[in-house]
Amino acid sequence: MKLATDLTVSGLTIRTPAGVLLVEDASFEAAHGELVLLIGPSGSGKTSIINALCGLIGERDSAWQVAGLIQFGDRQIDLAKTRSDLCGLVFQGNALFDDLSAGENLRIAADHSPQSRAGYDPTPVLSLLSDIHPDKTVAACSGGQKQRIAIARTLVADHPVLVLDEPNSGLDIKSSRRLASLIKKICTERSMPVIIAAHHVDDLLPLADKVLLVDSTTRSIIRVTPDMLAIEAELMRLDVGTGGRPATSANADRWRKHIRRGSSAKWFGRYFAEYFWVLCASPYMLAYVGLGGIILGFVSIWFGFNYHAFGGYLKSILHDETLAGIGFVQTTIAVPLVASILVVARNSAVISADLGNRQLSSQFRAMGNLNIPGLGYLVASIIAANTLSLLLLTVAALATASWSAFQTWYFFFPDQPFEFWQENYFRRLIESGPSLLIEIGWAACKIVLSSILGSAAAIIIGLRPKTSVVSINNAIAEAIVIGVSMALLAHAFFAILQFWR
Amino acid sequence: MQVRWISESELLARATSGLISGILILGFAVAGWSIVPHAAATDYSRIYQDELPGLVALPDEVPVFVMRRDRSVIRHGSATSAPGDRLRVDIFRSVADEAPDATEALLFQPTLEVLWLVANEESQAELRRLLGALQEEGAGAIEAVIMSDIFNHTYRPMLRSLLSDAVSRAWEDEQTQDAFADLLRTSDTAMRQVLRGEIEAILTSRVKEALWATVQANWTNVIGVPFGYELDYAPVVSAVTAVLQDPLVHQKFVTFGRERLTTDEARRLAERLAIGLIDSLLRETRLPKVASEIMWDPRLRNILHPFSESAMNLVSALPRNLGGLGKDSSLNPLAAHIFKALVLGRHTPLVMFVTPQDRTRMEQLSPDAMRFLISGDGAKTT
Repeated sequence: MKLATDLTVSGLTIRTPAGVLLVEDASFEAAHGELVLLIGPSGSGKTSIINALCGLIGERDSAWQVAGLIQFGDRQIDLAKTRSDLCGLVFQGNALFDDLSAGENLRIAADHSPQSRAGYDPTPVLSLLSDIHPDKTVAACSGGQKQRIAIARTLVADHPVLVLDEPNSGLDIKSSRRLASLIKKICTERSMPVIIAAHHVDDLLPLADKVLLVDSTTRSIIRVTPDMLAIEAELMRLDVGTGGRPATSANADRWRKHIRRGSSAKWFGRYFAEYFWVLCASPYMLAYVGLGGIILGFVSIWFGFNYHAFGGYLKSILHDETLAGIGFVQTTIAVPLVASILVVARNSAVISADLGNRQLSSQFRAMGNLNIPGLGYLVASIIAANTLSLLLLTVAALATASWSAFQTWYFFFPDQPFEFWQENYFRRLIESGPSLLIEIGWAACKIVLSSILGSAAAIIIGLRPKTSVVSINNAIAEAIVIGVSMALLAHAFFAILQFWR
Repeated sequence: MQVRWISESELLARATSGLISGILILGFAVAGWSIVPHAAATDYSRIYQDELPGLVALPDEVPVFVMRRDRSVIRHGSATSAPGDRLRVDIFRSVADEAPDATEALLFQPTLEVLWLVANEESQAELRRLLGALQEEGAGAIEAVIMSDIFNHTYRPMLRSLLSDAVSRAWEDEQTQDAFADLLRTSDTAMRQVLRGEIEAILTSRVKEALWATVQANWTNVIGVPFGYELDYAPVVSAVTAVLQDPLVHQKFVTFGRERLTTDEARRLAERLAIGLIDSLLRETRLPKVASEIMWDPRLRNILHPFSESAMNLVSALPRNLGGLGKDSSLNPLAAHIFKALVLGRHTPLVMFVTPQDRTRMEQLSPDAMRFLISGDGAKTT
């Protein structure tokens, strides 16, 4: 007879935001102290199922459609209405907080666990951590140690059901077997249901009480015999049903275009377009620089005409020269400088984060292995896109700053003609005649040098070896500080040359 | 349900991002286009010419103003020289319909007198009152300063240097030279050479000597010139006449004819020289510095105290009444232009459109302050 406190999942239906139905009306059970393996081909929905059990599905995309009922003890959760908080998840890749030590990873979980955990017996957890010093950094731990810390952290959080997503991924056979026996021990000692989603089940199978297969053809969860041959037969059946489709399908035609060898020149354009969008044309970037220009235009006029001992004179008899001075300084010095600071700061962060992540996830090594000149594509694209971005965004900032300056001026002098503002605001530039091109040239020099120096700093910092997310974060901060400092120096250098006459 | 390779939300996010970026870029373009100067709109241009032949030579561009019913003045456009001694006035599009009854175009030199003509009756009355007080209360004090040893030892040499320069400029002034040319026109070629050479040198040198008397006679009225006060040119006229009586000059004029020194041309030359001298002093940028030193000289403080107070009252009233300054400071573009011209020593004239009634009023106040422009083709050009 089934225990009243067993985990029962019934009517589980999951549809992805793209409209793919993963499982439909699926059901399964897991008893106390039972170790359940959840297997299935790649893309069959194993991770989505455990995310649904742990209340993590649809966190970032509300377009997921989930239905079903979870029953555990006297608790019943309707997944269509409520997110489940029954299961503690050990994430694939561990998801350890690498800015904290091993001990702190557990302490932070303990400090945020339920009050009912006061009488909790830590012995099973301690057995997981026997060879790890609490002060050891996460980066210094081996793969097996990280996995055990992650399991211990989840146990400390004291959920009634333990779920593990690919716990043996990346572990050697010895570590994998040791981990499996530890999980089984926890499962038995704590008498809790444990569900493991896994691809490689050889080491886990001997300890499993039940094996559940996600059938991607019927979109159901079926129970299979915990026997390697039976499992392999089922997986082969599913593989034939999905991956083994005839190559004449439309999808195969699509893939052929990707596999055929073509010109490699387009990849620079591909990366350039990607970076140009992120560094220049994305709405946040445009709004950010536009807003910067608007604020600068407002501030220069508002404080230029106010808060001065001769404020009244500036607004009346000294108006023309005051406005001409503000206009000249704003268009030739202030806007290019502020635009450079804003763009270089933001883009240095983006570049260093992007390259840092590529470095951390070994993308450059992969590119090297595939004979892709990754550094060339990326570095050239970044420098070109960033420089073009800064030039275009400075023009955009000039437009919004001047517009805002006029609006502020018009607030002060509502009965004066627009052309009068225009005549004085741009007077110094118009009067400069052909030397206007020289002024534009100076501004361009400042912008280009700022961009090149800022990009170079961010690239160098981003490409340095990364050991963790924390090292990427530090690189971002470093790139912002150095990039902005470079931009300031570039502007100061050319401003001195510009006005050295 | 149809399976999509990109989720609906992802597609929506991309489309939204693209749309927002497009809107922002369009916004930047519109903002930039709306504020960047474009070529002047020709449908708002008019052609004018001087009522009298020979339009004053204009710099590249002169400002055009319009005076509204309440006598406030705003910028109305810009003017440039056009072929055939004519003037092309480009009206600002945004204020083309401002003050439609201001049909009279007047050309002014950038002097305080223009602000005086534009000022309302209350402002003019206040300035007249303060000028009267200045003359009354300060006369004794100034007299005492001028007679003091401190002034004669310290400041008189400095002022003499300024005056010498002012005389040179007055002599080189176009109108003085015109008067001199009129005088020469009646003489023969040999005499012209004498007059242009030696007589000019003697005249310049001797007039400088006589200038101090001129300043002493005029010091109070100088400040009031822009507000309708007349200068007493008699000392300079007398000085120039005395120069002409000089034995050296006499000798040179033997063949010229003494009677010519008492002609209208000679008298006009003397007057122009005097007027040019005063104008030159008004534009002398070093003069305020010397005046400031005198005013703040602790040795002269007691003597100058009554004058200082009156002068300060006047100085503080000038910007308020003529420059639009005061509790609610507002932009007076006309005052701004004139102030800049005075400070920078520029002579950029200005064009102002006024109503026929205002033109009559200004003519009565100062008939010589303006030149009248008439429509060159009688209609707007297109």
